[in-house]
Amino acid sequence: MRDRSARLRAALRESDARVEELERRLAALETSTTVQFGRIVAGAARNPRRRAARLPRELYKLWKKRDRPTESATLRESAARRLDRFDRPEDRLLVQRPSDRPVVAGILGRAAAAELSDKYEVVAVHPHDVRTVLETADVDALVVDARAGEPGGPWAYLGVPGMFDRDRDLDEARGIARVREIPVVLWGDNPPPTLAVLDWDPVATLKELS
Amino acid sequence: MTRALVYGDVDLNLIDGSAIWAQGMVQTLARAGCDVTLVLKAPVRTGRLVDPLRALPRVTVLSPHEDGLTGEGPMRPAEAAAVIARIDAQQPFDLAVVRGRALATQLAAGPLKGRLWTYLTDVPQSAAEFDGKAKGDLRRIADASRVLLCQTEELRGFMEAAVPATAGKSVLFPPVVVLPDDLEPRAEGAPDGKLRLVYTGKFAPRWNTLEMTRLPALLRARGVDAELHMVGDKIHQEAGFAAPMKAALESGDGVVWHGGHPRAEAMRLTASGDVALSWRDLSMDTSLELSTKVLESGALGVPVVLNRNPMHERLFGEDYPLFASSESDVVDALTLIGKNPDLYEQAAERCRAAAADYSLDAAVRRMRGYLETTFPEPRRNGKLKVVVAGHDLKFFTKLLDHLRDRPDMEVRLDKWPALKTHDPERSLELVQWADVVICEWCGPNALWYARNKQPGQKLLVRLHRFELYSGWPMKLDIDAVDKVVCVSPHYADLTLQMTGWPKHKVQVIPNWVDDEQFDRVKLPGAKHHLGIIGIAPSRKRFDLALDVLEELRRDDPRYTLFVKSKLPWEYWWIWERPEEREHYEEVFRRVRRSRTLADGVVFDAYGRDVPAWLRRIGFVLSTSDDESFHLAPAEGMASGAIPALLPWPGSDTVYDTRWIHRTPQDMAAAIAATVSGGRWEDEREFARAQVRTSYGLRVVEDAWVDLVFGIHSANMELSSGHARIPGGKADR
Repeated sequence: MRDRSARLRAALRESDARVEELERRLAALETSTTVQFGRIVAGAARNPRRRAARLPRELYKLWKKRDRPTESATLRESAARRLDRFDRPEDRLLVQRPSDRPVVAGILGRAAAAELSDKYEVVAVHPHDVRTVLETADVDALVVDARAGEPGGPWAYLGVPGMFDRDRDLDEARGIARVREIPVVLWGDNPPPTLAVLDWDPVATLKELS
Repeated sequence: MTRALVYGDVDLNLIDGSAIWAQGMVQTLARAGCDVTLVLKAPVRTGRLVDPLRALPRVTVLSPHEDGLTGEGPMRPAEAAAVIARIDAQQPFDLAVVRGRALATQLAAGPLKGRLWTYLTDVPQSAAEFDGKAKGDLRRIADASRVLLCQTEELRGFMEAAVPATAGKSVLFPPVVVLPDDLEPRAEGAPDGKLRLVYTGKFAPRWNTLEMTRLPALLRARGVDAELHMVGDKIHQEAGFAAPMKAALESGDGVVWHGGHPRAEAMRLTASGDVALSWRDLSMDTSLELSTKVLESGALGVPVVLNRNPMHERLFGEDYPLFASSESDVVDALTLIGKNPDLYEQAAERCRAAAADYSLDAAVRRMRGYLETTFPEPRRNGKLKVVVAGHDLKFFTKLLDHLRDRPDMEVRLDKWPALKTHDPERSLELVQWADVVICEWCGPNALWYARNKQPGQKLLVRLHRFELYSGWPMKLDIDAVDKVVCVSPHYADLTLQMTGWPKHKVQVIPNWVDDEQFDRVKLPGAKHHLGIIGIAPSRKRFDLALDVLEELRRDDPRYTLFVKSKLPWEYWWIWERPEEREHYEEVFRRVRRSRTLADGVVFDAYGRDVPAWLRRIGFVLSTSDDESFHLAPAEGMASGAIPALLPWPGSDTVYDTRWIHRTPQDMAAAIAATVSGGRWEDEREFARAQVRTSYGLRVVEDAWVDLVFGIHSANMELSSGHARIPGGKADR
């Protein structure tokens, strides 16, 4: 029974995602100039007495805003739904972690972990606990070590092109931190290009935490 | 003769990378033995690329514009899909190689579904770029494709993890380097006199072309006389770039601008140089694709300066002397080889060797392999009628695919909705039709078919660990069954003991490993990474794997255990059992609390991307109390990892005893000794050869086909701890 309900939940989630995609496509279609043009002309044809007179003005208005970007309602709603998943600070506020020093969540190699722990309380984040840790820990910054992806550690191959799972886990961590408005800092020299091209807060941000 | 259609969403009037791809693909398929039909996207304005293809044997070039199948101008994806469907309807193709995501999405919903060989390009290259639409499109494409052709290992692994439907059907098809017939590569030997640097292509900021123009002056300051030859006429129009770029081309110190030239002439200019430049902005290193131009330079015997990244390191070797990531790196590297002829020769040789793997011959070899797998040779005329019956076919899928692919068999499925549930009318219809019936699982399906078997019909039953203790085999009329197939000698013996069936009724054909799918290059540092696939239920003994890890990490914290599994609480039937829950509460507490294990265990997501995941694993553990075969160590072996087993009953009948250790401590000691003693490479190659011989997919497929056709000599016997097929079959 539970298995069935898990399957149904998964199917529901997938259906939700599909509906969301279709809503977006529909919204994009509805806001397209072509469709609006068609509607105006068809409306005028259906009701020539009332709408034909307005036709030139409506077409002119349409032409005027033809290149203006519009954001569909569906997109705004779905973005809010996604933010909902992250933006639940209340559970995090219940977790106690007394500390006189700033607390940083770290995607770290061994050397960086040792170095940072001299100044900060370090909460280790692993690929499998990104969401759990970041949603419950009260951290002041997220630090990603440029060498975290070296073999022999939990984040091995982070930054190597083609490692979808590590890439996705990092993306999730950064997404949660950004929504929480926590600084996201790249630590160390010579990061792999896939990390170097991302946007980071300056390392100096960490000093400001002290 | 296999009939292949090729359509790239590319205009063959323009000579660019995608047009070169179409040319290479047509040549590859034709030389691999296919009748190839190339459908053109655009009306022919120049025959530069098309005419040589028309002249090839077994190649037909179709222009829908000339044939009146479409209007003017290049076909858009929807239009192309409709035209391709019309061409196919006249005489169906066996396969259609297509390139372009939009086109493949259109074709996925059409009549070519199942026959598409999709070449993946224009796909997201990072997790952040993967939105719902991309995933949806790619899932539909994957479902409709028989084969997915991936340019690089990076792209293949990425796609398999991001879109599970791509797993199992993605194969490598790297760029094909085809040099013009009359083009002579650079003569061997280091440059004498001026060092001639060559760049061909567009001029754009991320291609570092402006920075390149400074190189002759910088090299002169280091005592190296150099000039830079630049070929191309497309200057990226960006404020602050276009004007200085043009000025540098026209009047740069030591810069010779040749302007735009056709591809063959550009290659000739490259061959007349000493060093090619492909040094780019670091952001280009995030790509999952490989530059064909780099490979072409290699084939021309001209060494290349390029960025150091994992893909290039694998291609040219970590110690390749012309890796660079900054201007000073480039100057250092060029100074070094400008003054050191031996090093120059070494770099040129590396490039030549790397390019050899991308030659047309290499592409033809690869393609022949894929064609042989997909279209097996018949053993007889006519079709044997085969029914496969069972409620759960997940352990039979690859074999089922193979039987369905065979031109000498017609396969129909009797899919039971549940173990005991079926449509009797459908089953009756099928049993009257079939020459051979294969029952997957020795359950009620086997009992029904044994009762209803027709005279002269052959009935084969595949028995697993689960049914042996279920009571169903005791009720089976063994006289009606031709063979019961078990996956290991141990379970064959147990079956005979428990049922009392005559010995000749039971045959061992092991599980298989799709060894070609698992055969992928290991990632650097994998030798310190242990892997375990499946940790639930508790009899998998994850706790013993932790014992091994703890032992290893006491001496070397680089040892890390990667777990590929659903978590125990994701299986409700496991989690509702108190003793199971208690076991895992304790095990996970240990992972959380042990200082030795801290940062040493990673739980990776369960999924179908096991071959890609195994690239990071050096040892695959099997610590179960009980298994009938345990595929994970065999999959690990096929991936080039070393198996490490604890002695579950029958393990020595499936695996060589050299991989089986008495205790977790012994296992840890053996792993440490293998790595520290420098034996990891040799041992893993030995393991890989062993699994190919014993459990390779082709070997097991052949054994099954023998059995289905009635050749009973394929019994697999035991030899020195692992199974083999007698009669020399295993040596093929």
